Amino acid sequence: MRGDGNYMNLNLQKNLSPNNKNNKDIFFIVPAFNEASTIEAVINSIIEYGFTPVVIDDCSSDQTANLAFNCGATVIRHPINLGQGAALQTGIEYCLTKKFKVLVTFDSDGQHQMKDAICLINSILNDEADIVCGSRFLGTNAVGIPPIRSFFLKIAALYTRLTTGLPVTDAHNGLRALSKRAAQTIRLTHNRMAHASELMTQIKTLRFKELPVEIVYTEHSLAKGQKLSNSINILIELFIGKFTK
Amino acid sequence: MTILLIFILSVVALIGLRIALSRSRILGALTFIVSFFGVYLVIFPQYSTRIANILGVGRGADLLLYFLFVISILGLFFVYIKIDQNNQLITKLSRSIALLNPSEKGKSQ
Repeated sequence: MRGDGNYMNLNLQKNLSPNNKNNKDIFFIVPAFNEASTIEAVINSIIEYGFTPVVIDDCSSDQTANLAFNCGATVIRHPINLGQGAALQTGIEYCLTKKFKVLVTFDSDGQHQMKDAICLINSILNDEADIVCGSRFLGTNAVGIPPIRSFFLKIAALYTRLTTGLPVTDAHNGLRALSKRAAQTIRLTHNRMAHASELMTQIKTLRFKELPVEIVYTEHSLAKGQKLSNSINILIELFIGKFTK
Repeated sequence: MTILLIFILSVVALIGLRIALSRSRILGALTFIVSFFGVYLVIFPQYSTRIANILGVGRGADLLLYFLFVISILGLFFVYIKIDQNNQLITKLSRSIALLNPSEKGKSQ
């Protein structure tokens, strides 16, 4: 069995309940950019379960960083705006300096559900995989998704399936759980949105798993989310990136 | 007209020389040869017309234009790569600045 045995703590499964002090070594990486209206609710829900929230404030111009800090989160501030991929990588590097069992990446706009995150964490704790990604297309869990967005996400997942050979149904989900081994392997160099596809190409020897998650589309998350026209930029970014290494 | 032509060509030659000296040896030599070949074709249009006819292009000037286009796109591509490399350096720099001073729970800000 791979790993240092910590993953095998099956008893933890039933302990992932609210106000459990033993959940501290499960870190939530929350990249945030101008999310003052939602960040407090997200941080509070993480703290309620006793998990450790790490907010990467990507040089927000509003009160995001202060609100998160006052809620009890660790806040790391980028001096300039770099993008979500860069924020995730900063979070991973910060957590690698700490003791942790599981890393969870969690969006700051409130589109993810805590119960889904817990399913992902349990999957890592039970040593079922090194990286567990949420998918909104396993089952019917995409609440209020516009049809055109659903179509583009499925095309993108198909592209990822063809290029990486992984059985991906939703490559661009912000909710993921990583084991220590996965956190040490993943190196995101694409700062903006191409990081999701980049992450999939780095999985290679890691054990990959997908679990259904629910995404709640609100007006807020739709306005802040990806514009479809951006998919062309992502392709160009990935292409240029192939020559930069 | 002739003075203008000589001026433009010498600028091209100087730029070619500069690239030839700064990049890796093979790429430099290639740039040097290509830029001097271009100068040669401009000074002796009859040869460029002959090559253009072999390649199925009507006039020598058109051939030069097409080559200019291809080389410009290639140049643009290299500039993109350079920008991407610089962005990655900036990212690393800002990340290490960010990680120097995290506001951790229980500590004063």
